[in-house]
Amino acid sequence: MKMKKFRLGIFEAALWILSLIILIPLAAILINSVKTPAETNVLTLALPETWEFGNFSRIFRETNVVRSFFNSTLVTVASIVLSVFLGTIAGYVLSRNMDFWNKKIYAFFMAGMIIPLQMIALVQVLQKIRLLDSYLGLILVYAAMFIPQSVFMVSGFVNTVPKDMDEAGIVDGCGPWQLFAQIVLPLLKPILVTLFITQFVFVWNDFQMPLYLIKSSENWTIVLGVYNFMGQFNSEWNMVCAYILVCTIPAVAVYILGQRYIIDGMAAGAVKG
Amino acid sequence: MIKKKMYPRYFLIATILVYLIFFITPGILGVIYSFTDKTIYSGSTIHFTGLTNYIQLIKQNRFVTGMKNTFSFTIITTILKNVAGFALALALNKKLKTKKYLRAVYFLPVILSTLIVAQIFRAMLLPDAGLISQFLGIFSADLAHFDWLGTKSTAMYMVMLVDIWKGAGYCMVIYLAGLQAVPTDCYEAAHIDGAGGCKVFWKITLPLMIGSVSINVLLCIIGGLKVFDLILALTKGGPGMATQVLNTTIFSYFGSGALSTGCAANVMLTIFVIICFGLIKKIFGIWEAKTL
Repeated sequence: MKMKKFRLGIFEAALWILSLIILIPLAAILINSVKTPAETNVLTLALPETWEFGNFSRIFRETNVVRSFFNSTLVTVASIVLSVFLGTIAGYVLSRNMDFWNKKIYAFFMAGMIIPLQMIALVQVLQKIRLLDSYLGLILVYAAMFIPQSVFMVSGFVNTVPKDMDEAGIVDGCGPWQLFAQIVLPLLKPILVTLFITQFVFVWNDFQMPLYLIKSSENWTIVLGVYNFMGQFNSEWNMVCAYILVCTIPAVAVYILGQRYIIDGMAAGAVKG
Repeated sequence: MIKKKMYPRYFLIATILVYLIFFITPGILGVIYSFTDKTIYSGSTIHFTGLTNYIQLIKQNRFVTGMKNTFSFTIITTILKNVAGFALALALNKKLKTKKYLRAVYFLPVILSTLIVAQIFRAMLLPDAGLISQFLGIFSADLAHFDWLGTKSTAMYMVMLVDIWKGAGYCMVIYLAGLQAVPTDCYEAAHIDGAGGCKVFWKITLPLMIGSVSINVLLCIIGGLKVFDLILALTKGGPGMATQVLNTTIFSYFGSGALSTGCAANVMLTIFVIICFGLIKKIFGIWEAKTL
């Protein structure tokens, strides 16, 4: 028994050593973000000779990072709220009332689960309706992209909610809207959390949509900001590291706080999707 | 009757509208454009040209290379991410004290933006200056000078490695979730029968995990075919066309204004995704039926 425990301990230590593959690159960014340009000619894990916190103030001064951060937050939150709301209400009705037409509508939504968006045509459509290079355009596109997933997962979940609940509500005189908002919606919380997390991670980190759809720098999301920043400070690796750090810290902080929910939520999102 | 009243179809209108305008319309329009001569300059007068765009694509080196690269990227990363993810899941399924923290560390790259991961690895792989290059310099000075992302023969493998670094943790959590559902008495029975570790894996764990394997393979393949961010940020498809994939090809057609050609390439990508999806579903369906 003791032998077994000892072997398990060695095994665990080995797993921690292996995890350095992930931790070392991140540590390197952290350390090099507070070095001087001369010191970052070679990127090492050595601690800096002088701690150059000025890198960060330079970033806030010379780039639009605060604005980009605001843009990312706005676009991500708005598009997820919209997609989850639209997906939930549709998934709910489709699950409860699977008649001939609703079956067709459900299949129509499911087509979007695997089919990739036609990017170039999307740009043309947005240009026509004057939503190119705007928050609203980006938000609606993300919402549309995630509607199939939301509909699929919510309708699957509503199938498991007993209809007795609905009937009790109807007897109590609920209208259709009340029945949904006051009786069914609160029961859907677990699936809504899952949807929110998976879509948040995707939208916050996405690069393809803003690259096609956003032009002016005041509308850049944080990821687009990183991309353009690289062009500007290509050889100043201390600045690049500092910028990466500024952009990553919020995400990592949220991850550390809600680690359990995020990992389980993303696993659940994949398994049910 | 009550169904119609309590679950009214007008609840669906907003959802259908958004989906129709921003997902379906571009889809249909993209297919239509792919049969025309639309460019960025042609304005509203476009002509139907039949299959010209598709024929042109197949003749173009850029597209064919992109297609080949996409497939090799997809196949190799799918296999390696799944092997790594499964191994990690099996390791972390043991009774370890710091299991929770290890799981969090291995999953961390998944929540980072692909673009940021790409920048981190560009810094790591800088010839002479990057951390990885310095590490390799311990073995030979030539390895330290080597430009891994800037050399045609190695760039694609580097991109794949970064993708595996980022994606293995995702496979891991799906496998971990699957492992929780494997009943422990299966293992006990196998243990009593005297089955060794390898045999237990092939005969018990893997067959019971087909569901998780099929989800993971499906997600990796679809994600692999659609790969874009990582490549654009790491190599921009270069050097030459060494890391050009379908989505970067589409982006470069978009950039040069050849809209209809880009649409045709996008339609091809869609077809590949649908074929692969169907194929994988079928393969796993057969496998599942066999083991049950």
